[in-house]
Amino acid sequence: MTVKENLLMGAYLPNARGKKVAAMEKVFSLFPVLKEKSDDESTFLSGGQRQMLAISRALMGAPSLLFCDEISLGLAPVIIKDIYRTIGAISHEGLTIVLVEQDVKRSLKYSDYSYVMLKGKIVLEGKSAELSEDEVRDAYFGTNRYAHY
Amino acid sequence: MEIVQSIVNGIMLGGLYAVIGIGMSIVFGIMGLTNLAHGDLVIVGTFLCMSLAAQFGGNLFLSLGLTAILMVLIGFILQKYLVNKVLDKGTEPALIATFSISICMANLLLLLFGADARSIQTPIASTNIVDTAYFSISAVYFLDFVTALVVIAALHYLLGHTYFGRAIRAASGDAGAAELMGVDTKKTYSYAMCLSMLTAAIAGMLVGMTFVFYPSTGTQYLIIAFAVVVIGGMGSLAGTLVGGVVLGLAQLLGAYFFGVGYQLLCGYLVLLILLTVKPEGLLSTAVRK
Repeated sequence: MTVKENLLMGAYLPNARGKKVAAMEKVFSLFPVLKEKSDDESTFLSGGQRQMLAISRALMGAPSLLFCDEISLGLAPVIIKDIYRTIGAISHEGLTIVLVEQDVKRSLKYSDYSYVMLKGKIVLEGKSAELSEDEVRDAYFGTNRYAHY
Repeated sequence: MEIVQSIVNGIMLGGLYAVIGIGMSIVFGIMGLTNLAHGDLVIVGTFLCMSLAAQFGGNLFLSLGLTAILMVLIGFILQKYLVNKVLDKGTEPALIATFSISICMANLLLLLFGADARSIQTPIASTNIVDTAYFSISAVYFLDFVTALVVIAALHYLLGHTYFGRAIRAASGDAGAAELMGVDTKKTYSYAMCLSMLTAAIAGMLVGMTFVFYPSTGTQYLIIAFAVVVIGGMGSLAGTLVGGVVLGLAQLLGAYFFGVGYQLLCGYLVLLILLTVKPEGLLSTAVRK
């Protein structure tokens, strides 16, 4: 399927279908490269462009919550930066985003509130601005202080 | 100039072959299932159309409409209660299931209608729509070809430009991602089978108007469907038309050069040659490995 058809599939559910035209303009403004490639087969996209398409397709469904799992996995640093800038912009417009990420520095920078999980339990949480990188790293790797988990 | 006549007839007949093959192409393209019952289901459509036409004083439009509804219903039930359940276990068990449907249908027809040769009577049976010194086009053959164009154009629009069609293609491309977008893939497979059965109903009526048929002719049309889909490329709509025309031309030109007895043989020889030279089909989008 083409990029455009993929986006249209994102607005498959009835409550999103009516807003598909506006939604598509919106994602094209977020990721202009998708507009350029809108008639290309999505299998010909690069890894980063695919990730952008996946995010855009999710946005086409007019979500009230966006879950992103390991958004930077396997992508080039430049692309990661680009995608994070967009994720930041989307969240500033009021969409709640739940982001799962192992890149401590970047996730603290772009999020409002963070949770660190160890073996399935939340071991540390707080406003991202108030958490230090070291604190998060200790919790993440489960150093002595977290041995009882 | 009999060769011109053979070429014209081959092209027209190719249209009928395309309509026969397209239902099989849809099912293969969408669920990766080779529907061995397709030929017999076409013939079920032929018998339904014939019986209904007899009921309604030869009104073919009414009987085609009712045949289409009944065929879609049969397809939906077969898909929902049998094929979808065995598809979970893989495509091989589903293949066997369609084989059993094929045997059941052929024998059910034999039981109900007997083994006699039949045909669907039409007022246009012996009229020619074009009549020149070089060739003529019979109205029935012309109808076969025009119907093929209409069916393929309609399917092209439906699959390419509607949510219904995009959902079907999404389910065939990546079932997991389609489900994340809210597509019920199992239901989609049932709809695809309904679509295939709709084309089988149309093909059934055309077969009945063009040739004589028996309860056991299903296999013959299964082979034609196979040939069309393989020549044209699995899952390609335009390819189906090309496949039909290539097969039709191969058969009728074979008959012209070597005699009518070699008609079927020539069709399948061309299939075998194309399988060797271009195994992915003439218009397939699949990448050759």
